[in-house]
Amino acid sequence: MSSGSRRESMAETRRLQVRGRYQNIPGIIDFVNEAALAAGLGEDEAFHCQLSVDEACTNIIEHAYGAEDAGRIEVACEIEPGIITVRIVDYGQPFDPGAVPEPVDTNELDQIEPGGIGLHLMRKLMDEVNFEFGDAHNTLTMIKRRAGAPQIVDTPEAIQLEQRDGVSIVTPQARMDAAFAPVLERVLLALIEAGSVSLVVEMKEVPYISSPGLKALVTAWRSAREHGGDLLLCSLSERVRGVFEVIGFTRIFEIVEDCADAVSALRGRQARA
Amino acid sequence: METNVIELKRLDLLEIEGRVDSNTASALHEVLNERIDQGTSNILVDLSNVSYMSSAGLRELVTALKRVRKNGGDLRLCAPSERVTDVIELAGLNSLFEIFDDRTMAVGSF
Repeated sequence: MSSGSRRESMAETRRLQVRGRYQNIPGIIDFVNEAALAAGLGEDEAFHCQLSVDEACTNIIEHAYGAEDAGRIEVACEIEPGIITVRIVDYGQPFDPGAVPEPVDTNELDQIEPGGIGLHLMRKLMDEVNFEFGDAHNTLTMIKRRAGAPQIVDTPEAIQLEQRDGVSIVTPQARMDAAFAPVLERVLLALIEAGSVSLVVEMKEVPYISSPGLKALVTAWRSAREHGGDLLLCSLSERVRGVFEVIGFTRIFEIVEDCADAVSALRGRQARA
Repeated sequence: METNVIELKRLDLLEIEGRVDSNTASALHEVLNERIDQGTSNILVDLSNVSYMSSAGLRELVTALKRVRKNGGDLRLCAPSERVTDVIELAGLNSLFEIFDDRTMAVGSF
């Protein structure tokens, strides 16, 4: 198994290469799941990627190679904000997807040919499925995009949430005190859990912050980092900035002028990751 | 994947636990075929502890269903998780199998 490298500034490409054995497929789909979450896809969408890649790799072993241990499978995941492109390469026999009949939705058992179910699932679950056959190898490219809804967690009215270029911009509009801090913390952690690990907390409408508010920010910042992302703060009011300087928070958090700076800083980080 | 067969009066109850995928489907194939070869024609598959199912697993269930229907019996499913239910539906097989939420109800249906 090999590690990843970068292709171009906006996208990150992760690579994995394994022998064509059924027992290696769970490792491949874990790898794809992590990449899908890193692209900001939801858990269900990441699961759809896993299942499709499972079906694709099973087909490669079963049909392209015709047996286990007959060749290798190379998987590359290209990660962009909200999009994952999975490329799977094998060196076996070309396979004609057109020759596989669509399974029919029927209760006539005789009409069911179980062979085509895998391909059918891939086409249903992924946004794009494309096969290419070269002289030496076959390439399957599958693309999955995050569903349009930018709202990936329920947020209370006092918290505005916007997704921009794969970055979640969270704008609390309340005093960050003992009453409000747990609400904000829950929203931030839910976003990170849902795969949105690059976050900006825009503080322009926070007139006051006390220690539970500070704790909420530190907890979310730590979680974002543990998940391979980061949390930046921007647009601090004079008073809040004063509090941050007194307690040394300006040394922990990256604080930038405004939202646009924060988004471009985080995007640069995603590309380098 | 682990399997466990409980012989009831009118049917065999097959409990499956874990991942049912291309790596484990052959083991499922064996256990199903063994029961059918021994003359069982009614099988209830308890999916409540199946964490993951790919088409390789579905294929074995369809193959076994064909065999038992030929013998005048049936293969029914119970308690699939939401994920497994989705996969069965996406594969267009939900109308093929009788699927029960509840295992007791499923046992009683035979």
